[in-house]
Amino acid sequence: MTCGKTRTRKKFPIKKLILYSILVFMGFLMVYPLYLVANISLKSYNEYLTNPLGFVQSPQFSNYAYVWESMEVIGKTANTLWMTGLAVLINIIISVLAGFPIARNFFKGSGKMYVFVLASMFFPTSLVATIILLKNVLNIYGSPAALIVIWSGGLQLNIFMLCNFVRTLPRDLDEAAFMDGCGYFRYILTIAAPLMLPIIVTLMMLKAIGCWNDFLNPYIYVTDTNFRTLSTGLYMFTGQYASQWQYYCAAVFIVATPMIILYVFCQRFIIAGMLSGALKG
Amino acid sequence: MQAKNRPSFVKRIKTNPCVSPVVALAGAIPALLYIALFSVIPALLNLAISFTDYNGNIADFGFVGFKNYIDFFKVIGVDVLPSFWTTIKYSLMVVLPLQVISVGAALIVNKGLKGSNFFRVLFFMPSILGSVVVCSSWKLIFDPQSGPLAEYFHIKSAFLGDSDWSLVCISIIALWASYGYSMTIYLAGLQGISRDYYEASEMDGANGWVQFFKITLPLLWPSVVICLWIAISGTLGMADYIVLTTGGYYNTQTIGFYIFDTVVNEKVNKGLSAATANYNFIFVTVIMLLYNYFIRKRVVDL
Repeated sequence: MTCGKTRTRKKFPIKKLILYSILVFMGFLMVYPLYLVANISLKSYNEYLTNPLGFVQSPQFSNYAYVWESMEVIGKTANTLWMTGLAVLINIIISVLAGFPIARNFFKGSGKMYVFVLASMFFPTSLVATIILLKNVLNIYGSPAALIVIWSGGLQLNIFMLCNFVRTLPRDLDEAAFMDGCGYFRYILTIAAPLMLPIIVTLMMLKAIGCWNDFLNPYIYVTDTNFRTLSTGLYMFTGQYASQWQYYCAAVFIVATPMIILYVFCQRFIIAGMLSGALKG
Repeated sequence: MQAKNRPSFVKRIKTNPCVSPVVALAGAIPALLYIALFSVIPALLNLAISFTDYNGNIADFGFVGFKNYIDFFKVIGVDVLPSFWTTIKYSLMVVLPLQVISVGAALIVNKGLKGSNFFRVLFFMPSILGSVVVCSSWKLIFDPQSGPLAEYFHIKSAFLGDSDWSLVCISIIALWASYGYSMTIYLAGLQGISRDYYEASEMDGANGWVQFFKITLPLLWPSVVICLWIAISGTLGMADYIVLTTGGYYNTQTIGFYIFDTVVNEKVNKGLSAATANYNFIFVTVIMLLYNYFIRKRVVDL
């Protein structure tokens, strides 16, 4: 005989239902703008006039072809790629070359340099002074060199994170290597860098995403129209075609696609990287 | 060990005798040069220019003392002071709802319902889209003639063209774009809270709300600190979204946009721009100090 009947009837999971519907609603909000863009990008102009928001009836892929040529997508993508790549490379090389000896105290002033690096993060940033520096002193304002120089910045945070990471590496390794006569730069290139690979890759990825998506800096510093990036190109294009929504949307979708594809394949890595960037920085 | 004011981790490391300090220093010099050139010098240059009336013409400028700092209130004060206020409004409209929504979503996703991972990935996606894509997509939604808000919800408003609501619309855009990022940080924080606390409190008869305020929130405070910092520093310097949506009209001029506009379009002389940059720096520093005092100090260990 059972003492006390146990409840076998399942309670209707109303709480779960509410939570799920909230999640679905939010997910819908996240996706809707892009869905709208994709939807309109496939409509012809006339179809947009008669049926702006409904699902597209007769998809026009020619919109994409037109935008592809008109906005010179390949040229701008190539620009953005090489400028981002160069900036990320310069950034990470300089950061590692500075972070490693500071963390290991290889030279006498390394403590002071560390303090200097961190303190400089809190100096006032000034657009006027930077532009004057680039324009009148260095004379590179308006050319892609200015943008690459600006994009190579953000060293302080990188050096800080690198120092923290290097502290966890075993010191016996470099003592042994140097005693065996390994050259300094050769050591960093062949042994230290591979050991620091997790954080190096994370920092490079964060910087690359930041540069690829950056709008204001290319807009301010590059005035030469041959070197426009995707973001400035898109801005100019959408300004020009503001009333022809189908071209506007096709352009937005083309520019959004690389990052979305990258995200779909590497989302775990991207999320983990951005999370660690936020938590440690 | 001689030097007493080195950072603590450096104190205990003896300098490696096999590495030539000159070579190591040579490797670190580029970074040092870069920081000196692009962090230190602009700050000093800015300070110097703010005391002159330099106008781009190197042959013709004079030292004018504090005139620019005073002119800031007289000449351009009519444009600038509202910008500070707009920046504060914008910041509040984004930062506070962002935390509430992110924490709420993180709590739901943390429950581990089936498919939570899919939602987590989905929510994070807008954070990796660039500002141009985000603003261009949302301009569609906020279209007063044929946008979904006008058609489906029959809201008759100029949205981004309306002086009263424009800033709210931009705040919504910013919320949409940054919410996944904050939520992920909160999720990581939530997962670090041990279940024992909740079980113990349930035995003592605590219900959901009590658990939230007495256990979750205090233990989540480090994540709150981080998310607030990111949100505040992001919104205080905001110029991107404003340039991309309204170009500064309709009462949406934040101080970041104001500086961008006046410098790039050369609307005021450079001395005045430099003084504005310094005022902005003071403004931001004060907010950061307040943040430090009120928020950072409250981190608790249960």
